[in-house]
Amino acid sequence: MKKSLVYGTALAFGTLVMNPAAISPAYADIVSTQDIVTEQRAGVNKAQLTEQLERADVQEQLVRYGVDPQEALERINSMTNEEILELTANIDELPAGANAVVVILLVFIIWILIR
Amino acid sequence: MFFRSTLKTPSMLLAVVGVLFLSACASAPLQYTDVIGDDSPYQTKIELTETPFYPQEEFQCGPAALATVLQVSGVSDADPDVLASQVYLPERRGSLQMEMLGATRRADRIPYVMAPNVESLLTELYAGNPVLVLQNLGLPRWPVWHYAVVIGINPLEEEVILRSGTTEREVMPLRRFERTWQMGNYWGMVVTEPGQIPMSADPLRYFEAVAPLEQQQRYEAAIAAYEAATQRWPEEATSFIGLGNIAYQQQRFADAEGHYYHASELAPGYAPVFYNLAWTFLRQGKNESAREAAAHAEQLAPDHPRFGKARAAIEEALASEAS
Repeated sequence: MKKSLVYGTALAFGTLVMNPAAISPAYADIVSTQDIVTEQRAGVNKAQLTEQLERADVQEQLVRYGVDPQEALERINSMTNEEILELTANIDELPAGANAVVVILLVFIIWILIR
Repeated sequence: MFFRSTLKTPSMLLAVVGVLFLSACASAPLQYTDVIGDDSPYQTKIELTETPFYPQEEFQCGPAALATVLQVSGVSDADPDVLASQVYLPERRGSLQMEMLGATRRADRIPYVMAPNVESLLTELYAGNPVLVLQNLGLPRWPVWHYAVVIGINPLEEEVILRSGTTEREVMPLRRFERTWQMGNYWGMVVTEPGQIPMSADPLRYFEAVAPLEQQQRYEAAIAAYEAATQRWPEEATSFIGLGNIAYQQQRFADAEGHYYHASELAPGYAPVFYNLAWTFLRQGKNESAREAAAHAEQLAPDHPRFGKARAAIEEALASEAS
């Protein structure tokens, strides 16, 4: 009995974190505008494929990259499924807009090379 | 000296110069000469001087550039330090594009990603909208990614004007700017005030930008965006579907019915409209109308995994309601 209670709590907690429904609209019966535009763009129902996305895994990945756990969850919740998929697949290769100091250094190097 | 010591041998120097030339030869043609040509409407200088400026702290061009465009869109408390916690990815020492989009949504604004070309950029600038761009200031194989905000262009001098890094007014040759932007795949984001639609927007791109806000229940921003879209593109059914879907989520089923009905007039052959209409009827107890709408949706898209089973879905809901 105790065991089932533990499982039950874990399950409830788990679904709370990883279930996309946590931020999805309350009614899942109508077809969402998100699905409509995805279909209009792709011509296939890609949205349904990505519905099973495990947001907890993505959250863990962001935490590994130095983001605070709560903040990681909020970032994920502000992205679309497509964006999350791309993020997790290519987190090391995606352009990360960054440092102006490196830029100045680089421009200077190139200038020295070509003058 | 550091630069000399890193390039000790002549062969290495040769190699670096070689890469520079190779990359220059291999790159795609530039668009700007055509876009600002003699017969183009863009012949006068424009500079959006009112655009605020946030000097970049280390690694933080993303938050700084984002704060700039959010301020312009009326988010008066947009602050680079607060935004840094939302978009900065420590292990990558920078900000990813999807994080920039997400943070814009968190400020209840629509992150509109422009069609990737120079013409869109000019269209937005002349309409008074600064554009947040992703540049590669390095080489294709040795990228140095950077976000900046384009605030002006001078076609006569072939220059663009940017808020960039620690430079409040950076003037860059158009040719060099386009090369750096081209390496960032011409990625540019426009953030407008609620109810304003970017000048260069096309309907599908715009709806793709709005739908995630609806999904995240940022309804106020999404409603303003869809209502603006009904004015800009009165023939587009998607705006009315969006308004209907929000009304449905807010359990304003009669309103939803009205919006879907309007959408059905604009797109009489589009199954999703009738599918959602069926559910709206069902929620109001109009069971026969629900069945009819579902049958119609099914007829329009018999092979679709969802709409093709519309009647069964409605019947199932009716049965569970009755029990």
